[in-house]
Amino acid sequence: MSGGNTYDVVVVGAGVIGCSVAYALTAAGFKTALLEREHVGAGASGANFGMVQSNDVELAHTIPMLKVSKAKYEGLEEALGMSFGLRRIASLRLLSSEKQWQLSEERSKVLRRNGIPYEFVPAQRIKEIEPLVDPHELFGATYAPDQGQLNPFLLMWAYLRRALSIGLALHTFTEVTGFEIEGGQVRGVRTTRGPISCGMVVLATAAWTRHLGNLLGQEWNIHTFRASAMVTEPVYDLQLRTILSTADHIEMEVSGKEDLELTVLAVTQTPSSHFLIAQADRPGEVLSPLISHAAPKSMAIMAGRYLPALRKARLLRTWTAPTTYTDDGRPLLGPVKEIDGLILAAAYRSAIIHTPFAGEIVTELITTGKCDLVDLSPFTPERKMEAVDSFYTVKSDSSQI
Amino acid sequence: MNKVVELVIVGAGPAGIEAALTASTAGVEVTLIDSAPSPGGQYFQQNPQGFKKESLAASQVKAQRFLGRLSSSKVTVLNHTLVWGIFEGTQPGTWCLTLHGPTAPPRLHAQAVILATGAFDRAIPFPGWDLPGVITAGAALRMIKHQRILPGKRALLSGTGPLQLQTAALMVQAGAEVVAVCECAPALLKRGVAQLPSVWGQWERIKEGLDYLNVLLQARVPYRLGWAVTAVDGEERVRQGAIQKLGPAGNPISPGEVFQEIDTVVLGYGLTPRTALVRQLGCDMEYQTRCGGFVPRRDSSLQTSRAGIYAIGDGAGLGGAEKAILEGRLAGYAVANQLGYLSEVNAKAILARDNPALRREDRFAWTLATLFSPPAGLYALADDDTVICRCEQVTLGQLRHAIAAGAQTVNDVKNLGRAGMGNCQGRTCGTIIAQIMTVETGKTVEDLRYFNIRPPIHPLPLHVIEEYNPGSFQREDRQ
Repeated sequence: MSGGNTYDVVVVGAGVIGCSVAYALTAAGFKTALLEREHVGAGASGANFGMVQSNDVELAHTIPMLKVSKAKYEGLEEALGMSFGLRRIASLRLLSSEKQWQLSEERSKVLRRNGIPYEFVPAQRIKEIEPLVDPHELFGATYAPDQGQLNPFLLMWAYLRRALSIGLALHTFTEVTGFEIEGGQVRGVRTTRGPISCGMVVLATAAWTRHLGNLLGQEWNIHTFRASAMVTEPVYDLQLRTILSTADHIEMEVSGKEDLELTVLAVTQTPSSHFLIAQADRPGEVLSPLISHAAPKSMAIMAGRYLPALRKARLLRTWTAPTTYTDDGRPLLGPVKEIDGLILAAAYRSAIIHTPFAGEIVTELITTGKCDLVDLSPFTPERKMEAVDSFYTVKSDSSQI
Repeated sequence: MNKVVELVIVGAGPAGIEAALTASTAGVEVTLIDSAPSPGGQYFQQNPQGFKKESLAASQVKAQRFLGRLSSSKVTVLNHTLVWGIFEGTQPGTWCLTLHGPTAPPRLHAQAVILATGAFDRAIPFPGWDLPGVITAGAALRMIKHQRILPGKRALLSGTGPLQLQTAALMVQAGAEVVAVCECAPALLKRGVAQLPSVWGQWERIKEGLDYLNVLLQARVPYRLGWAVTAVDGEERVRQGAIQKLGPAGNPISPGEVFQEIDTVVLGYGLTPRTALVRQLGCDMEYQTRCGGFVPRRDSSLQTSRAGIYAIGDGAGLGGAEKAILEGRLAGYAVANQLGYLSEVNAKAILARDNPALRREDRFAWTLATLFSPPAGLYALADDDTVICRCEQVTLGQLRHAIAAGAQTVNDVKNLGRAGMGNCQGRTCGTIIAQIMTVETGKTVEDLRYFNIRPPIHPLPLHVIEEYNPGSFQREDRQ
């Protein structure tokens, strides 16, 4: 590590949350380093569709924080001096049975009460909203018109570009291998490129948080599953209006029993007309950056089933990333008990909508030692979790995989 | 349960064929895959059926012998087949290759894989380089040798190394007018003398080079040492090309000389190893200038950092056909050994026998790389409006914008501005962008790294990926 390797704060993980936190800390005058084991956005932050979504939120505790964060997107592109392609887009989740709607009904009420439109659409009205979908085997859909989408790489770089210009030190290909703790207080981190001294460490490390916790003797309650995605060439004669997703966790045989994959489909079309297709697969602690041989095939089958016209489109790339979740659907956000100077900002569901506020929350914690911006008690890393919201959790009988 | 074959070899050039023959002779069950209609690769390129066999050059006689051995072997050959991805197999320790071709299964599971994927042309961008009529030397050779098409009637050549001599000679023999051949290497003769010892003994190659030079001499083609094409112009396609004398760092130092009424510019700035499959697999890579860029790190049996994945020939580091054949033999024996067809003693004896020849070929490749690598100054020819990533139409100006935002590696530039996200996944622009970034950031090419590659490494329709094949789709796709 060249030159001064002493910082006020070390932020670990250059994903959307880490970039927002690193920017906010640098702007508040802290000498800050952002460490990343790969390149910027190499994990889930660079692998997603940039959905600024509020319809997928954990209902009991996350909505107040989410609403503040969503509002902070107003004017953010101007403030950072760089466009990241933010646009408004509707979300349409296709339901194949009445049971799926019953599971969504409570969600619909809570969201609407909080000013987030979310309604049931019967099958015969689906074509008005999304002409490309063939509704004849569907029960209906849920429709959330006020969602958003942006380019996640540009969001990260909008923060970084500004942060680098005011003094942030960005160290990519630098993996944290251990922590220096003295008398219960963080003194620094060890990395593959040498030790770094600091008074505070923020982990914005998503799927790698569990591993880093283990280095500290902590067992944080974070799980990962693998999400895979792909992009087609631009398709100009098809126009998809919404972010389309399915509600069934469809099990299907890909090519023999050993290739069984579990699939939740999401499809969207970018402003440049590329189609993006994604699925959730392979539950389990998977950190490999390599996509499974079955995932491209199962995504292609699913996309062809819902949008037959896409079959002729050429596929440009597929990719995968480990995605995090917690049993209660809430992030781990706040100081870690018994280790002074260690803060977690990890395991967000729909991380992008939380990104603008996450930087401010962590900066407030570091500046004042507490957070008056929002009640962080539901998010304490050590909390006991009760499984909720099973409809949105990826389940599988892993013995079959 | 998927059937697991013993060995799949990707690429039926000299390296792949020799590896296939070696492993097959030792008893290994081998499947050899190539995207061309028939085996041979670029070096042993075969004429399409129906063409008259004219007087055969020495290398073609050799090719006939080589391909004859292949056709009488037990090797299963899958021609016309694209390998679009390589993945961890379902059973631990196996690999899964996904294929697309008229007679190929959609996927093959293998215990061992040898990647012999060869190399492709390196181009250097300058204003107008994306105009129709600007082609690479490899493309010109393929058109003439393989398809019997004359790339153009009045051509200007620019590049470095022996390959463009061969290209120029064949174009002259095929009836084209070559207005000039520019060799960009500075002070070639002076530096060449110092390299003579490693060229000693390479008589066949020297004779081949002199033969080509003689063709150019007879046709009075100007051979300009230390010059390069620096801009081309034309509406819709190439009409004129400017050449300039280069300084020691490769930057233009003379006013341009312009050739009018040309229809073709052929660029031959050497080769780049084709590493898409090893990168897709996440094999460890290392930067080797003499090998042509980033190549897979290999052990003494030519195995990559992923167990059971071997990489040989130009695709694992430029070295030419003779070196590729030696590596093919070595890897063929290594896989036979891995699968239990060979005793450890035999494997060691073979290694000891072939090593001196391999070292000699290595030295020769090193000499060629030293004499003929494009100087850095050439990468400064493009201006802000020059398109660098042709798939996504990203200009140098846009790249500079991304670099100014703080991009640390080529992948950051890709994520910031789409360069390398198109059809070819940065095959052409990847090394160019790294070279441009060295100038803009002062970093080394090694630090700037290489583009991530994701399957499919060739764009393919979704119905191929989903293995859904009613006839109507397939016909459309073949065109």
